[in-house]
Amino acid sequence: MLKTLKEGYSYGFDIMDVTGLPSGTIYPALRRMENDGLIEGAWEDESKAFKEERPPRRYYKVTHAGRVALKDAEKRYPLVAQFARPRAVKA
Amino acid sequence: MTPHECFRRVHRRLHMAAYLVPRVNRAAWREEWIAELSYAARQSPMLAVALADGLVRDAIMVRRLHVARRIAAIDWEAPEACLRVLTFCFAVLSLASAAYPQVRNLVLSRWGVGAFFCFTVLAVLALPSTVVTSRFSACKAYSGDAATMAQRWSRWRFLAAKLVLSVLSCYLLAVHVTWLFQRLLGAQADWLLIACGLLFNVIAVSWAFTDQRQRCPTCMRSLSGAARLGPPSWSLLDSNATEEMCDRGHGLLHQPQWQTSWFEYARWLQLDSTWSELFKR
Repeated sequence: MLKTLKEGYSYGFDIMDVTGLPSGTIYPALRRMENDGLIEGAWEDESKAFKEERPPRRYYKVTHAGRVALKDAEKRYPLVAQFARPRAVKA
Repeated sequence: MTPHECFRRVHRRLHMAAYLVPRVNRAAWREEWIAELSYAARQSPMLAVALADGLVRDAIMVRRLHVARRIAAIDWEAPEACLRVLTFCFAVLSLASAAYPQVRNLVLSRWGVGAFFCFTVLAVLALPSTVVTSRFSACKAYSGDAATMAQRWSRWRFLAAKLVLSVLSCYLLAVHVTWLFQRLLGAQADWLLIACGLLFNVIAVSWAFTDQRQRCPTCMRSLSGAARLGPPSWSLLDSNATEEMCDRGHGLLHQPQWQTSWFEYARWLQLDSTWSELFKR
């Protein structure tokens, strides 16, 4: 999950899409990681969300501690590095 | 399933799961989930139903983390924490007594009143046992402390509250134990109550006094950072003691490992305000 967040997938539903994990796994894990200081969540700018006619979403990003933890995990489990591809940025 | 049914199901789940989330986090939690669910519902109502499967597990996780944070924030050394734990034990035992009609009737009957009277007598009789179980006098240790009258008064009030709560809890516990064996023992169960009463009271009263001795007389917080002074083999040549300190810097408690003519009782060394800099947080 840290890997997917680092690659730019920044909210629960998006991570579910990439990892194929159920919501009952993704959201509790996000809470735990936020509690442990590995990720931090922030609300999206309301005006931007209203322009797109949807409620504002909570985005998560990896903190410094999270990046360190991810680096450790990638060292221990090399396959993690190949797990999620970087999110394609819209032009 | 029609889209309308999907939305109704999702809404019902969200509403029910929200009750599991602590009140302080509820609004933010609900807002986040509404955003996620509405995004899923735009793609397909069935997708929103599948996403809503995680609502309860997420709510439980938020509650668990909240409880863990609250437990971590408890100051276990403070006297309030001690009284809260004792009150909690007493409340649990009272509720357990009220839940079983037989126990409730036993406690409220004339027999129960008599048993409680016996129990109080046993608690008073258990007081001398503290001389054996807690080796050194609780009061003598603090004879040199610089506590004000208000602090001394609060120290005695704290001890009294501990004694009352622990003796009452012991009484209810003894009644429960007696009730469990009443069928087996018949009329002999009264002796079991007396035996339990004596045993529980000795434990409770000696704990109350020992705990009191392990607290700072100024702020009533538990002493910590126990340090051994002198090796045991030097007991005849030098002091062999344990030293504990108040983490707020009010003083140190020296407790001899063996009672000797020159170091008979625990000694409280009051530190003046010049030491406060060292203990600043």
